[in-house]
This record gives sequence, C-alpha cells and structure tokens, in this order.
Amino acid sequence: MIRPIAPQRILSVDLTRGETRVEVVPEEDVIKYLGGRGIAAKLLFQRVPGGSDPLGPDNALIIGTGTLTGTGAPSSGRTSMLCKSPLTGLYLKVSVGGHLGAELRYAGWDYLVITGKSPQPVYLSIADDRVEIKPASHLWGQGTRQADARLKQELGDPTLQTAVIGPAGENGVLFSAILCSRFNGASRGGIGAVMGSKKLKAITVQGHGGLRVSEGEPFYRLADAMRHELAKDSGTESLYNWGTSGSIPGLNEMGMLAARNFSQVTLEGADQLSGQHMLDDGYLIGRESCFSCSTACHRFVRSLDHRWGEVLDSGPELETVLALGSECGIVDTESALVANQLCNELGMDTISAGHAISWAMESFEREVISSLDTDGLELRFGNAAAVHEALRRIAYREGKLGDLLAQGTRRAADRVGQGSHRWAIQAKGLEQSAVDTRMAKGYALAFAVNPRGPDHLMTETFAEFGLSKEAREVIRTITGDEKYADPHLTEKRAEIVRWHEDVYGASEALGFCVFTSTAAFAVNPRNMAQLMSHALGTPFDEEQLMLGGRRMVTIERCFNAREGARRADDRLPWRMMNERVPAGPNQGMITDQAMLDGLLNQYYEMHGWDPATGIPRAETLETLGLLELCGDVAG
Amino acid sequence: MDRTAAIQVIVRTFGLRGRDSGLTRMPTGFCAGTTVRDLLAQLRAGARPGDRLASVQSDTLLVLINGRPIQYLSGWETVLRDGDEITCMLKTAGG
Amino acid sequence: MNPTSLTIESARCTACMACELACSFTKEGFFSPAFSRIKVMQVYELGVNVPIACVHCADAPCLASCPSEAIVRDEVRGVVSIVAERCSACGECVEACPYGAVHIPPEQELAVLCDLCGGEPACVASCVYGALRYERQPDAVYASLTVTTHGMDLPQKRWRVAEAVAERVGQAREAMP
Repeated sequence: MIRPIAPQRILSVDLTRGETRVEVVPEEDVIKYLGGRGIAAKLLFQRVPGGSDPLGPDNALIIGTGTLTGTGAPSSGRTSMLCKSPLTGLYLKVSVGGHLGAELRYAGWDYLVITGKSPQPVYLSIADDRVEIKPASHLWGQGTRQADARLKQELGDPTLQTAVIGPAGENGVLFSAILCSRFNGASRGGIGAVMGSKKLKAITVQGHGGLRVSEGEPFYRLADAMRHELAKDSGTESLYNWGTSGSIPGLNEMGMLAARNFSQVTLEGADQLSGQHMLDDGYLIGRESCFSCSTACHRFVRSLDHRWGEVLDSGPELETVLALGSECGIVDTESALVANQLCNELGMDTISAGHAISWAMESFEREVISSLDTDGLELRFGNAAAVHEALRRIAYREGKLGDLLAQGTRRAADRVGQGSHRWAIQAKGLEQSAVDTRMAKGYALAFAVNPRGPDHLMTETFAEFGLSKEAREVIRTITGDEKYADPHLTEKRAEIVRWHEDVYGASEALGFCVFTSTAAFAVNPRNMAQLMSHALGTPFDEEQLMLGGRRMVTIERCFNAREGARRADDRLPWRMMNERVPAGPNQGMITDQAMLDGLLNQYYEMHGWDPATGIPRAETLETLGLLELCGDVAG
Repeated sequence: MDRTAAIQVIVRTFGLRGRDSGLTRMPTGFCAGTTVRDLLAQLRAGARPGDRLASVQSDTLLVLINGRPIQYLSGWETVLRDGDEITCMLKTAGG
Repeated sequence: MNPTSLTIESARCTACMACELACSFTKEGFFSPAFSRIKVMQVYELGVNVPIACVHCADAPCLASCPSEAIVRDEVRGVVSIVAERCSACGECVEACPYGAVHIPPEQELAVLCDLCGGEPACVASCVYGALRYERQPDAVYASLTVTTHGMDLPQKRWRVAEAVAERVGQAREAMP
C-alpha cells in the first residue's frame, strides 16, 4: 500500500485479550500535534490514567514513528517510544534510531499502542496488514542477539526488523532496554521492563509498502539539499570520523569529564576511551547509519587482545564509555567494549547501569556497603572485572547486589541509607547523563525540568556553548545577542531552554535526529516546516511547527502533574547542587538551590505555569488548545 | 625554535596531524603579543600535505587555552601568555 | 562510452538507504524500498553493508531465461533493460539472476532492474560516502565472487550474496580511512 503522510494509522494491541484494532489519526491532528512523539504523548495521556502501575496491564507501550520517517528527508528515521516509567513513576519518552520506524511505516502503521498483559510470553508479528500474536516461550530467557537471529530464522526473512528485550527486561530490571534493529537501544527509564511485564518478548516488522508525499519534486529537492548541507557540516564530519565518543579529549581538556561517580572532572588516560583512539588503534571496523541518515555516527567495533572477552558489536557511545568507563574509574578500552556489548546482549541502559555501579563503588570505598552486601565482589573504582560481573548480576537480579542495583540508585540509596543519597547521581529517580550541570546553566535548567529526569535526550542546549558560527546565530535568534552564548551565564537560559524544547519536540515528532537540528543546524524550524508543507500539500509554517513542539511539552508536563510531580521534583542530583566542581577551568562552579530557583522562576513564568507548583495554568492550556485534553490537571 | 622568544607555551593538537587522530604535543616559543590567530597561521605554515591542519577551516576548530574555549576569552585575538597550554582539535558534538 | 554499471564499494556503505529512497522516488515518484532497483543488505553480525544492483552481465542469465524476449541488451551501450510491453511478470528472470538484482515490486505486473537512470544514477547522487560511484571502470564486489544461490527465494538469495561479500570485506579489513 502506497499511502499519503496523513491521515495516520494506529495499531492497538490488547495483550490480555489477544486482540488488535485499527484507529485513524485525522490530518488536522497531525497538523496540530505534528505526529510522532506529539501524537504519542497525547495517546499516553489519554490512555494511561494517573496512578497506573507501570508494570501492570494498564500501562501502555506506545511507539510513534516520525511523520516524515520513511521519506527521503535526511536523518528522519528516529522513532519515539513512550510509557509510564517504572523507574521514575513519571512520563517516559525514549528515542531510538536504526530502521524499525521506517519499516513500520512501510508496513502501513504510524503508531503501535500495546496494552494489557499476555498470560504467556508472546511476540507481535507485523507483516504489512497481517498482524499476529505468536508464542514466544521458546525465546524467553534469550539474549537480544540470539532472539533476533531465531526470529529471523523462524519467519524465514533475514532482513526483517525487530525490537527485542533481553533477560534484564524479562526480569524487571528498572533500567532495562529494548534493542531495535539489532543494536539500537531504546534504553532509558525501564522501558524494557514495561515490555517484559506484558510478557512481550519481541516485535517483528516487515513492510513492503511506501509513502507518497503530496508535492514530490519540491520535497525531494529540498530534502536532497539538506542532506548535502548536513554532510558538509564539521560536526557531522567529526561524528562520522570518531562517533560521539570523539568528544572525550575536548571534555577532558575542558575539565568536564565525569569520572569516579562525578567526584572528578578529569581523568588521566581518558583518551583511551575516545573515538579517536578506537579508530587509530584498530578497534573500529565499521560505521553504521540510522535510516536515511548520511552522518553514520554509529560505530561497529571489535576487541583486539580480548582480555575481557571477545567483542564484535555496535557501539559504544559517549555516554556509555563515560558511565561504564570513567565514572567507574576505568580507562581500559577493551573493558568499555565488553561492558557495552553486555548491555546490548542483556538489554540494559548503559547510563543507569554505569551510574548504579559507580554509586555502589563509591559506597564501597566509603565503607557504607561491604563485601557482605556485594556478595564478595570487590566493588572498587578501577575494577573492570567487577563492572562486567555486576552487569550480569543486575540483569538476573542475582544475589543481594544484583537485586539492589536493579532498582536504580534512588531506591538503592533508600535501602542503604547512611547518606548515600548524596552520591546517587539521579533526580526524579533517573540517573543523570554525564554532563556537568554545575558549569552549564542552560543544561542545568533543561535537566532539572526534563519530564523524564535529568538527561540530555529531551532538551540539549548545546548551542549555549557557542562553539560554532551557527550555534551563536541560534543564540542570537533566541535572545537577541550572541553574547548569551556562554554556558556560565544564568541570563536568558529560560528562553534558550524553551526554544530547544520546542525544536527537540518538533524534530522528534517529524522523525529527525536532534543532532541535525541542535548540534548541527542544517535541519531547522524553517526547512522542517517547508518539508511538512510539501509532504502534506497544505500550507504549514514555522510558527505551527514550534506550536506543535510547545503542545507536546505541555502535555508531558500535565502527565507528570497528574502523577503528583511538582516544582520540588524539578531539581538536579544532590552532588550537582551541593558540591562544587573540584578542579580545572570550572573549579568552584555549582548550580545550587538558590540559582536553580532563579532559573525555574524565569522558566515557569515564560511557560505560563504556576511558579509554586510547576503546573500549567488553565489559560495557558486554553491558548494552546489543550484545555479539553488536559484541563483537569490545571492548577 | 626561536631562541629569542619572549614566551614559552605548550601547544597540543588532537586529530590534526597526518592520519593520526591522537595527541601531539610540543613546547614552542613565541614572541610576546602572539595571538591565537598568529599561532594557527604558524601551525598551518608548518603543516605537511596529509595533515588535516593544512586544509581544515578555522571555524571548525575548537581552540582551548588552559581548558577554556577561546570564545570566552578574546577569540582569535586572544594574546598568548607565558606558560599557556593551548589545545587545538576539531569540534565534536554528541552525547 | 558511458560506464555500463555502478561501482559498489561495500566497505564505505553505512546502510543509510538514501540510495533506495532516491531510486524509488526517481523511478516511481514515491518512497518505497520494495520498489527500489538497488537493495542494501545489512549483515549486522559482521558490521558490513552490501548494496546490490544489476551489473548488466555480458551473458545475462535473466535475458536467457525470459520466455517473451522482454529483456534485451543494448550491445552498443552494454546496458540490459526490460521492455515493459513484452513483460508478463512470470518471474523467470527473478529466479535466474544470481544476485537478486531483478525483482517484481509488490502488486506490479512488471519486473524491474537498475537502468542507470539514463546516465545520471540518482543513487550515486544521494550517496555522500562514495560507496556508489559511476565511473570508467565499474566494479561491484559480488560480480567477481562465486556464490551459489540457485533455487533460493529472493530475500534468501540477496542475503547469501551479502554474506559472501561481508566475509570478503571482513577478511580484507584494516584500519579504517
């Protein structure tokens, strides 16, 4: 079936009853909410009532493909997956690349909404309009690589796309992941555990249809020009050369490299974890792209001396080598590759897993926990073997240690007490990504207000560093003056964060990788709106695009408010707010409560949210056309 | 090395020389008043044909002085001081 | 004389699929890999990606197999093509091609293969990595491999070709450029 971009189609699956149903998203909703993450957020708000058990049948796993995913728009293959998070009890959106989203669109589906719980392990097989719930008991217990291979063999198609959980998801590890297209992780917030709680082992997708945009020639010309523009960007070039871990030498030089559970900001030998080192020394043997992306930032690596085991897998990303490398006091390349492969196989989020282990290491070093609590494991910084062993135990919730850490650092610190909250690098229950929010104020605000918890994957204000002409131009557009391209400043951060929230939202709704619109800028609100206009065949402008972004951010806020989240939850990990940067060019910096309060006041005011609670006001909802949907929540 | 140089600095480049992405480091002497722009011109003048340094656009370089990006100092006109550590690398992005 | 087929350098391919999108859009006016004349096979386990397109064999098995003489070879330009009016979509050519480079798109009554877009291949223009080129000495790595694919269905056939290429690329691997 060759379909237009709108209206869009939802496949709803009730795993309790074993039933499926088709729904339609009308074109006016695609225009109002943009599609992708936007419509998915609306569906989550409507279908998962406040107070639902994240690991119960009432939670929904919602997959939202980008509205332009599957077209020739460059780097438009990103897909959003939403649910209520079992780790935080709040809104969760994860973004994943690879090729799954495009395949789903070619199969004729724009959204999957999966509710209920199957009595037995099953997998969902989607082959164009033929949808079946099939037995998966024979797959339960398998690692993601094995399960993927088995499914391809069973269905007789080595090219089908899969989304698979590993043992971690099956065992309800609260930061377990879904591995898509073999090695692309939909990872944060325990989304794997939600799939596991439904006894859904995998989703397989085979799509043979296509997408027709309304104004083909102008669409393709613009998309092609954007593709080539992106290929010339220097940020894109460095991502191709060295991947995301190419940032490591710069971060180390700038005293911004998270090390030893964020107690240090530089680490001797950290260059061993860098993309540059992996290229030069022969670890890198391939570069992979997500669907329709000409950047190829993904890596394919092998181990060389195999001292910690044999590796042949995709990854690792920057956050991974930080979380499982420098944060654990380890600068051994081979160790980082093995740790990444383990997380892929077992199906776990590397950021949370790494920070759970680094928290445990600091606790061990401080003698707050002992080898009795770790079942004999010497959990000291620098112990690579302990990291790998801890990952295995977490995935299977094995022993005291495995079970403790599988719940994430917030619950672990609750259990252990003795002030260990002070070194749990988490807020809202989610472990923070390894960006120093003490020195970068835009990041600090963005992380504090992020509905899923403090990380960079919903709003990353990279432009505030002003490292390129384009970045400074963006800051000038937002604030009126290039001088605000300075992360140490607290002025104008609310404006900068809001722009990024809206652009992130719009990018993800359309399927664009945010690297192209917020790290490079060849994809921007103007040309995104133009592509939408050509795709739909109706006028569609930048203002509508940003408004769509605004709406989804507001719906996400309302979801959290309904779950009881308030202003007090908008904060950073204790360490970021109470311990100053210990060394380097940013020594002494901090984002303390007073500073954060100032930033929050600006931010809530700008959004039209009640500053006491952080809840959107009724007038604000009305202006956005969200009163009917979210009105009950309004403060 | 200029033996009558007034200041001594350490210049480190990452990923700019030959096919090697790694770090090269050299102690170098310059006259007082040398700016970052002057430094880059001299590095380029000494670059060999295969070096990225020879072809790379200035705007794609991340230049740090003692760990601080030059954007927060005086940009390309920042004057080098005795004992400065200057690091040049390609800008990278990502998370 | 124009080159008679594409140069395909698998080691540079990242499986971005821009080529499949460019091809289906150029030939059909919409985006659908199932209609693309070039197919990229991702051999995940080795991290190697293999684009497969018609190499316009001198002794084309598809041409020999066609019962309605719908496949012809232009001896001057060296390009194999399908004469639409004579094609009955019987599928013999799909069976005969050892690489899986000719296929019948979903719900169509016509077999299709790469015709080089009349001299300016759209896929080449879309490939920023230089994995696809249109140059004087065309070379597609699988054209020089002996791969047994007889009797396999289309997806299996392409996969077998891709695996053979991936093994070859894997063996030749050194430090990346």
